Amino acid sequence: MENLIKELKQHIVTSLKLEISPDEIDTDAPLFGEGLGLDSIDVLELVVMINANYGIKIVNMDEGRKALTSVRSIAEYITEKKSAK
Amino acid sequence: MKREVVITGAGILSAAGASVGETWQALKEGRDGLRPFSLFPSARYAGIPAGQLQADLPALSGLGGGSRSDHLAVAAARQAFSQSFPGGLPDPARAGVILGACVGGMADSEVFLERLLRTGARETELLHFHECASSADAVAGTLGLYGPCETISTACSSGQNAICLAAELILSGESDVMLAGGTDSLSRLTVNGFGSLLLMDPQGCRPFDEERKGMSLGEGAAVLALESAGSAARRNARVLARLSGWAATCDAHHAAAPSPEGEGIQRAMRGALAGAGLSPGDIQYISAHGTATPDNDRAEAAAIKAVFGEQTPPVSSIKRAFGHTFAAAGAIETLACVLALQHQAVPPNAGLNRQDPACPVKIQRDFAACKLSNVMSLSLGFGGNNNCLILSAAGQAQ
Amino acid sequence: MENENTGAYILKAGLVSPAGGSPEQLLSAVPAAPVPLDYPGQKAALKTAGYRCDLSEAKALLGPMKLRRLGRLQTMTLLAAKKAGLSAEACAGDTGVYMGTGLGSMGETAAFLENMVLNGEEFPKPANFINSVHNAAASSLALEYAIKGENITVAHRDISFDAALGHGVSALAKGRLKRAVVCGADELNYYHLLAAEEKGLWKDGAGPLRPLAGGTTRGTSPGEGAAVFLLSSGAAEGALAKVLGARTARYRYDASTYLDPAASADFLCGLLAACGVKPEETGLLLSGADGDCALDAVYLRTAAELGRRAGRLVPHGSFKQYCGDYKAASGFGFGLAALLLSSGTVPPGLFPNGTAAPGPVSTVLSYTISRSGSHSAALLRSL
Repeated sequence: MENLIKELKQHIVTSLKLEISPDEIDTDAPLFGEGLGLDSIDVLELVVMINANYGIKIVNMDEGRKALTSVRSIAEYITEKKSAK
Repeated sequence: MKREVVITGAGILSAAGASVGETWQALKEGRDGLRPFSLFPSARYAGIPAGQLQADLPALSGLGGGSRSDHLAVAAARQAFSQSFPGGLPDPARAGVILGACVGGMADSEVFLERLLRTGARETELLHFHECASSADAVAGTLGLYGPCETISTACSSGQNAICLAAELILSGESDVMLAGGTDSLSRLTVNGFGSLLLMDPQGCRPFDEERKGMSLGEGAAVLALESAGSAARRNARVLARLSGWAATCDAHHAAAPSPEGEGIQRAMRGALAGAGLSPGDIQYISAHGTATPDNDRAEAAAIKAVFGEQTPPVSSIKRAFGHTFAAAGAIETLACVLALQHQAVPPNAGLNRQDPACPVKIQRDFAACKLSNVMSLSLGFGGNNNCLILSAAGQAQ
Repeated sequence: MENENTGAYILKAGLVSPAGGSPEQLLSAVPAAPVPLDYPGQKAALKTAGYRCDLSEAKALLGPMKLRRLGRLQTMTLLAAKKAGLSAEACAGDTGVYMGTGLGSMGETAAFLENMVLNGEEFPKPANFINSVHNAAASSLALEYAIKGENITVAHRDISFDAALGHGVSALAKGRLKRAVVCGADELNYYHLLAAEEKGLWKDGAGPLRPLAGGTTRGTSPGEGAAVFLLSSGAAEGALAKVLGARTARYRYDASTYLDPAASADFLCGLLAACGVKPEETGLLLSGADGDCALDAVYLRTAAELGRRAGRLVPHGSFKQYCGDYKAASGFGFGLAALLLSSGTVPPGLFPNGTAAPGPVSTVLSYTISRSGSHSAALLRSL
């Protein structure tokens, strides 16, 4: 899980063109609204990122928002979906 | 005499048909205009429900060359023009055109780009009709118009904005006649683009439905012949409807989502009513934008309820008959409002199963005869660019 | 436009251009040579040189979180708005946006499509798509400054800015708005450059553009820029100038003269008359001449005919030697006109043919001919 979390932080920085170092992202802090201050367009970009890197397809915004609350929630979502496959 | 703007001609081409008559018949029947998408090869989107045209577009337009959007526009413009000016224009220097257009020649430009990237081929002739301005230029060139010739590109509200700005040029005295409307073809860009926003419904758009999942795309064009009331009277032209008022606002809320209570939509409605000198109780039908995305329909219904309250008239979205035709949508819906006034009947909200209880206005399920004096059309652009337009029956004293 | 033409005040102006962005830079600018245009990673190399804007201030002025979300056109437009000194306070109330752009956000459109072709439909770029609509820059302005009135984008080739300006001025005159943010912007784009290069629209050679200077070569050099203006129906301190009116029309193509000079002069005099201005009161004709000898000749014949009607030579300058040729360039010309009316000096750089600049002028008529069949004009007056 820790490796996945590290990887995810790097992917987030790259795909969202953030000018911060991946380590600056708090694993449990909210990604949207406060915290990193990402918005709904970033949700869509992360949906693509997750499909591209982990082969998991999120098909609607509600599912997306829930899975993407924090880096940890993304990691848990991916782990759960992969084990279900 | 105060200048007024009237409508003396109408033309349309869409998944619902190649003429005004065919379109009204499709609306009466509540017909589903969506068919499996097949215009371009697509691994992800082949077969999705879309308002795709099968017609021979160059044959309908008579244009030697042009983009798909150009053919749609000229075909529709010819219909409106021949209805309004069978004997030709009184003064070509005082006749112009404004069209809403977003896609332009993208359907061909995309092919150019793909071939360049895959093979290095520089088939730049595919870019010849790229600009969305090409359609208005083609209409002006075909019909011999030498007044203002412009293109408005404000996403989904383009067509309706074009009609309103054309009306303003007539009211200012810059022009006596304006062909106004919108055109857009399907393209890989828009299909993949809206797909990437997770905004399309694999079962086809179901406006205001409880289970709705999003929009369906379509293509088409609608053009109205707008004229000053004085010019129409001088030629004894038959008036189809009158343009009474309009207003446009911006939510300034988010690049791709409406404000949840439809705050900007409310301001547009109030502004249009004020401009027309009317109260909410004077409107007998509202043609909603109703794209069937969860957010749009909820915000739009909330806005209508806030402005009309107990006096909310029948509301319907007609997008199931056409798909969401982007820049053409507002023009198609304004034209449908003209037909509603002419036929004194309201078109149904096709695609509705169970109305979403979170949409607090009653949606018109069935086609119904109705006494109509004033009708309202809402056209809401991607990202909060709102246009509200009010049409009134011809020969109606205000 | 007929009976309600009191015009509108130009309260603020901000320009992002290859010749600089501050009024001082622009009024003292010297026309420069275009620079090689380099698009690494593109399959077909370009031969064309052009006029490019320096956007290095953007990160500092707009911030990285905002910038990552914006395409080039939006960045240029927001930067120009910052230079104009726009603020939410200045835009509060009944304010609308009227924008002209010929090609819109080509960069963002290309990025979305290139990704689709190279990586497939499963891994799209939604942010690029949202930015690809022609009105993305106008929407960005509305979001940035909470501008809630009409938001209109005209995308009609070289007349885009003047058409948008005309609608904005009219909305103010009719009282639909109290203030209008009027803008014109277009970005350099690889695909547009390539298509035009294939058609022979660009010049060979590397010298500065010298419109109206008697050159004998065809073609022009591409450029880009963004111009943002805050217009108001009421006067305010610091206003630069007034815009009396703007209009557009199609012209009849004439096989021998391209555009009959009498027809252009009729068009220009029509605007002048509607604004209550006599031809002889025109202090300066500022045209969109772009150094293509064929089109330059058309502008020169128009100026001569206007002079005949005015009964005097009307000074005739150009502006594309500063910014290059792009669809919304008349917005840049409009900005220069406002600055020179406000400063009281006509920059000699407006006359590449070496004519002496006139003394202070109080009326500037801007004229743009689009090769596609439309022309447009705007009329400005000093305060």
